[in-house]
Amino acid sequence: MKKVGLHELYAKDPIEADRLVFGRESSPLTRRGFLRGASTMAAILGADVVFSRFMPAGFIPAALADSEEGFQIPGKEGLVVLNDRPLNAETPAHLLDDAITPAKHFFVRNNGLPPEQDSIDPATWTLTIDGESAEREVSFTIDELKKRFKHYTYQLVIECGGNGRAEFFPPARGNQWGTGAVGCAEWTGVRLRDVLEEVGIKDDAVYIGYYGADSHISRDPNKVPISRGVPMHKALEDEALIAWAMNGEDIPWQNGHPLRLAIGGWPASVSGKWLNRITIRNKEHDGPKMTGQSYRVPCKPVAPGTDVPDEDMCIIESMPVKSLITYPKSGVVLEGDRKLAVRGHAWAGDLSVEQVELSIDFGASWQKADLKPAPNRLAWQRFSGEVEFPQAGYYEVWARATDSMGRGQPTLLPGWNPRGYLNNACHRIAVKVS
Amino acid sequence: MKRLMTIGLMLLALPAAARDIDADSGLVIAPGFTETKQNCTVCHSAKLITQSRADRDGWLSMIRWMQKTQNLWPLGPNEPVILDYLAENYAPESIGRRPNLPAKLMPPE
Repeated sequence: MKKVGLHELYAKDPIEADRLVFGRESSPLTRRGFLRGASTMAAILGADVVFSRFMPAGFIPAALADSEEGFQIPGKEGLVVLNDRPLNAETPAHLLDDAITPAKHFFVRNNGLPPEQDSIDPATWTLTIDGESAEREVSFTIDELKKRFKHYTYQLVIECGGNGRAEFFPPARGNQWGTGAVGCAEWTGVRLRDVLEEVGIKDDAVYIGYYGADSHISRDPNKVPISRGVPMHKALEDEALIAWAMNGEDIPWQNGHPLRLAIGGWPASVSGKWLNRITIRNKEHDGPKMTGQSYRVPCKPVAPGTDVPDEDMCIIESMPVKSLITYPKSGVVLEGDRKLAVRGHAWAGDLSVEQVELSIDFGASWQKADLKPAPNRLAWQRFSGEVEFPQAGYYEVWARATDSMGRGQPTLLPGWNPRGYLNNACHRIAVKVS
Repeated sequence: MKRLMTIGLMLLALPAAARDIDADSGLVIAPGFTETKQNCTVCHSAKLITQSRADRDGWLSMIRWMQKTQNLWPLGPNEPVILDYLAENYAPESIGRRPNLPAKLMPPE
C-alpha cells in the first residue's frame, strides 16, 4: 500500500480524509461539527476539541497540521518564508538584482490555498467572462485565447500593497513584509482589453472583478479567498494582460499557473492568480478584500494608531514611487577600497521615474545616479552609481527615487495607515569600510 | 545581597530572552499557549502570530475580523485566555519612525 501523507490525503478529499483518519462525519447540511468521530480526534490530539460543533468539515487539526518537517517551495530559491499557511514568502533585496526577475526569485503572496498542482490541466482550463455589464457570457480555453487574440509581452512591476509593512508603528496586522514583496518579470499573454471587447462591454461598465481557483484557508467551499479588480480605464490599458507565461515559460504554480492577470503599477492583489473568471461590473467590484479595510488607506491622513471607520478608507490605486538597492548585499565590508559601485531598480506605479539619487551620509547630501529608461511602460528602471567614502567606518547607502510628477521617496516612514500599506521610505544598505 | 540582586535582574530579563518556545509552532509557551495553538492555527500557520505585534484591543479586532469574514468560530471562555496570552507575549515594541537596520543586514562584527 502506498504511503500517503496527511496533507495529501486532505488535499484530495477533505471530507473523506476526515472519515478515514478520525472516523469523522460532519453535518452534511452545515459541513460543521461531528455526527461521529469527535472522541477519536480527541484521543489522537490528547485533548477535547472545545466548540467541536463549530469545527468545519475537512480540517486537519493544527496540532497535526503543524507537524510537517521542513519547508520548501517548489521552484523557488532563497525566499524568506513569512507564513507557511497560507504561503507567503519574500525575496531578499540582493536576489532581485536581475533586470528581469527570474521565476525562482519571484515572491509568493497567497490569500488562500492554491489549487492542487496535479489538479491543474492547462488543456481543459477555462476563463469565463460575464457580469451585468458584459454583452454576453463567454468561456475561452487557454488554447482559444492563444489562437484568437494577438500576443503581447511586457515587463511589469508586481508589488504587494503591504510591501514594507514591517516598519510601521503601531504595527499593522498581516504578513510583516520587509522590502521583498516585489518583482518585475516578463509576462506574455493577450490584452485584457481585446478579450473584454470581443465579449462586449456595455456602456455602464465601471469595474472588472476576477475570480480564481484558489480556495479559502478555512476550506469552506462557499467562501472566496480574494476577488479584487480595477476600474475600466486600468483594465483597458495596453499593458493589462491575461498571461500564461512568465519569462517565456509556464507561470510557477505559486504565482498563478496556468493563467493569471498581470496588471502593473497597482497593488499585486489586482492581478488575480489561477484566473478562471472575470466579471464586468456596473459598479465598483465588491468581492472579498475589495471592501472594509483591505487594500485601502485612510482617504485623509491620520495620526499613527488612529481607528479609522470603513467608510473613511479609500481603495489603493497606483503604487507610490520606490527604489531598491540590489547590489551590493547589505552588510558588505570594503577592504582597502573606498569606492563602491551601487545599482538597483526604481519604479513609480502608473508613472515613470525621473531621477534616482544616492546618499552615504544619512540624507545630508545626495548625488545623482545614472538612470535607464524603462523597456516598456510599468516596468522598473535600472539605476547605477559609484559612491566614495571619505574614511573608514560604518556607512549606510540610501537610494531615493523621484517620479515624473516630482514626488520623491521619504527618508522616514510615510503616513501611517491601519493596515500598513504603501511604505515607500527610501531603501538602505549597511557598508563597513575598514 | 549582591548575588540576590543579580538573580533578581536575571529573572526580570527572562521574559524577553529565555522564553520556552514550542518546537512545532514557534509559539511562546506561557499560560494560554494551548488554547491559542488549538484555536488559532487551524486555518493559518502560527507564523502569522509570531511575526505580528498588537495590544489586547488589536488582537481582539483581528479575532472579530476573522469571525466576521474568515469562518473563525466563537471562542467562548477561551477568548479572554487567548487574548491575555497574545497581549502578554506578542505586545508591540516601539520602533519609532525608522529603526536601525536589522542584524542580518549589518556588516560582520
